[in-house]
Amino acid sequence: MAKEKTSKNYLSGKEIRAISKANAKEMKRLEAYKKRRCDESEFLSQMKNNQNILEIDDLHTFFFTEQGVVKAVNGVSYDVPKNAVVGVVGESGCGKSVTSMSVMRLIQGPTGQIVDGSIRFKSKEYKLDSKGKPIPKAGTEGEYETEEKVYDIAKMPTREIHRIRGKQVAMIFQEPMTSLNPVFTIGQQLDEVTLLHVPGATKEMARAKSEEMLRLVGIIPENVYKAFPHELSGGMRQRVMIAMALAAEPRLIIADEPTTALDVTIQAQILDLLQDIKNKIDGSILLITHDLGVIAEMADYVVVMYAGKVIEKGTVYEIFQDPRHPYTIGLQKSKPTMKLDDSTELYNIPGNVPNPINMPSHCYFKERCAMCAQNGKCSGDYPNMVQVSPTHFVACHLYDEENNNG
Amino acid sequence: MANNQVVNNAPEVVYDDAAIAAEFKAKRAQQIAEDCAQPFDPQALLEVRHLRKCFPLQKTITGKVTRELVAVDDVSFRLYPGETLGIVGESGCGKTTTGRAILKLHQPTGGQIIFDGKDITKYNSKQMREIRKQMQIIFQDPYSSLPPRDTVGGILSEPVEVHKIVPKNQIKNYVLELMDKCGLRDYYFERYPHEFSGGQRQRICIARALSVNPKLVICDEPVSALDVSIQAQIINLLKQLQREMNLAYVFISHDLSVVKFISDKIGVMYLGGMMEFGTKEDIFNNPLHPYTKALFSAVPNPDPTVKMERIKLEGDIPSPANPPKGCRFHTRCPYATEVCKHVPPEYKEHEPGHFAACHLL
Repeated sequence: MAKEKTSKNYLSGKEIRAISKANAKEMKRLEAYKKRRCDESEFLSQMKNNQNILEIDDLHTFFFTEQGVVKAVNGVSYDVPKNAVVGVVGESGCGKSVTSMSVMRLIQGPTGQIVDGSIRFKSKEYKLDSKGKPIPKAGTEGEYETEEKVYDIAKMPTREIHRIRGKQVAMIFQEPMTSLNPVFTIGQQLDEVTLLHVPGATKEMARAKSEEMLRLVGIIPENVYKAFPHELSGGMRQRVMIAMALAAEPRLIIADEPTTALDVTIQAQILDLLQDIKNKIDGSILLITHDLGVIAEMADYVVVMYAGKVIEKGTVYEIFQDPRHPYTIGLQKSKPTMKLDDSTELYNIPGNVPNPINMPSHCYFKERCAMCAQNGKCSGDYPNMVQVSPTHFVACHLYDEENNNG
Repeated sequence: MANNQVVNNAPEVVYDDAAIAAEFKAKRAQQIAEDCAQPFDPQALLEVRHLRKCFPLQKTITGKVTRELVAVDDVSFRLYPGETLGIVGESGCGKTTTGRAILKLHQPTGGQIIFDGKDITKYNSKQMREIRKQMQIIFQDPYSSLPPRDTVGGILSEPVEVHKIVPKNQIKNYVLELMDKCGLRDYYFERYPHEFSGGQRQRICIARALSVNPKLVICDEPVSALDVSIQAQIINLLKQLQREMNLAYVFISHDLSVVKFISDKIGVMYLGGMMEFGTKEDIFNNPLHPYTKALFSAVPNPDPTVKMERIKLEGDIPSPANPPKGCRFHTRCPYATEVCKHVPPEYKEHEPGHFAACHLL
């Protein structure tokens, strides 16, 4: 018994070398694919639904480690519709951040690689003339003719990604303390966005734009434009991050745990601000958090992830009022709320997330599931996504039958 | 509107800040002297009287402190055996410092700490060693508070051995029993901390704290580094152990819903001072202080149908090195008047057992 356990937890040198060799081959191939030179037509794509701004389809992002391949994102699909807030919830290590990093193509290589799947993004590109220069819009200054193109981010070579990253898709990171550059002033960092992404931008234009953005997030620019990040508090830094994300007028903002490092009162301020901004700009927000309260307040659609898979998705009302997957139900019951009767014991999901290297072939939640015993199917294959309403999907064997009968 | 009118109609008052400060200081010194001379409450396990902790920021060459940061200012409460006191507040409000000062991991600058009928404020480290058998702490981050080179068995046996809780030949059985109580399997005895997940590590930390049979455990944000589903496991474990061992907890957290779930009494701190103190029912059903009200309304509600009316707090928490004059909270308070800007409010009992420091009450 004890011996078996050791062999599972520890690898011999021989095994590690074999894994490394296999990994090196795979990583080399994927790195070369990212570095290739190719024509635009190779990564042009079509949206399934024209209302969506982002479609993630069967995405697989793996990490090739010495202990084996970690399938951090293992077949994730979800859509972000236009002008909507999509919330992604899940425990740490469930792959929610890795999915968003894949969209930004910020996965740390060569160990981390997008192996399979597609990320289709509807981009707003400048129309180019025969010389490759943008055509100015008639009667305006500094504005150009645009057209919509759908790119498959997963297939784009690294040198093309700057068309999208930071300009069309902007990201607000979790740690406002560490994601600003300490050696440049706030103004310099904000101006850079405009100077990089707007063709023919001058310093004056960039500064005007930066100040406008700072005002939009509720900061008086005179005080902050020349300040360094360390002079600002956590909440102010997060506002600067939001201003920076907005400066290039993105179509999609990815907010990766934007309020986790902040106090509740500051969190309330930032959430109000995000809500405000969503109404002001013509874009969508992909909100990643583990706080169900934040999701309920902000999101229109919710995606619940567990161990690298989407287990349930639907509108916010469906997920909170009619949760179907045992994990979603458990998650909601285990969160102490202000209204809860506290004489009883808190519901808890027993056990832990399975080891990401040796994932079982059956449902990943089986060992922790309270409803599993009712259904013999759970030991079989991984459950498929079942549609319970036009917008509500769940991956659980409990609902297989229901669907077949209906 | 109503507030504005009252201020306008009132006769012009000129506030002399220096005089007010001097008067307040003298009054408080007298109060502290009076309170500290009073006999100890025989029932209370822990009594904290006017606790104050300052950290020096600047010293002259002779060692005289010229600037200091008042991390905890005038905090008082009583805790009875088997009770849980929750301390909530934003980051930098002094809740962790309070917890550490009770254990005397920080030597308090002023005030009294009475544990089990003994004034331990002036105890030296040798005397404290005896007391520490009865008071323990669980830290926030289970990833950095366990020694990486020791096995779980070693980690849990060491305090038992040092404090001579059981005879040497019974240590292993005692530890295994303890591990069982905290939901750890017996074959974990030989394993190292890095082999465990966050929730399991926090269980090891809890087991370590309980290994010396303490009466009081200070829980310094024990669940904030954990996921929601694991959080629930740890909270349930803490509650179950409390029932079994009649423990008293000082539960420090910034998560109001967790504090509500576990506490009997709650203290709300802001910028080093206690703003409101009372039983859980008092604080949650009838919050008196505007800060408490704002804090509660800021908690996001996991129900999309309910849109809460928020009391919005503007701005950030001021630097504790340079706290505002008058009431600490006046810079962010939506109801602040002219008095609040100059005169520090008195911390007094408004209902039996329900204390608050605000001019508006």
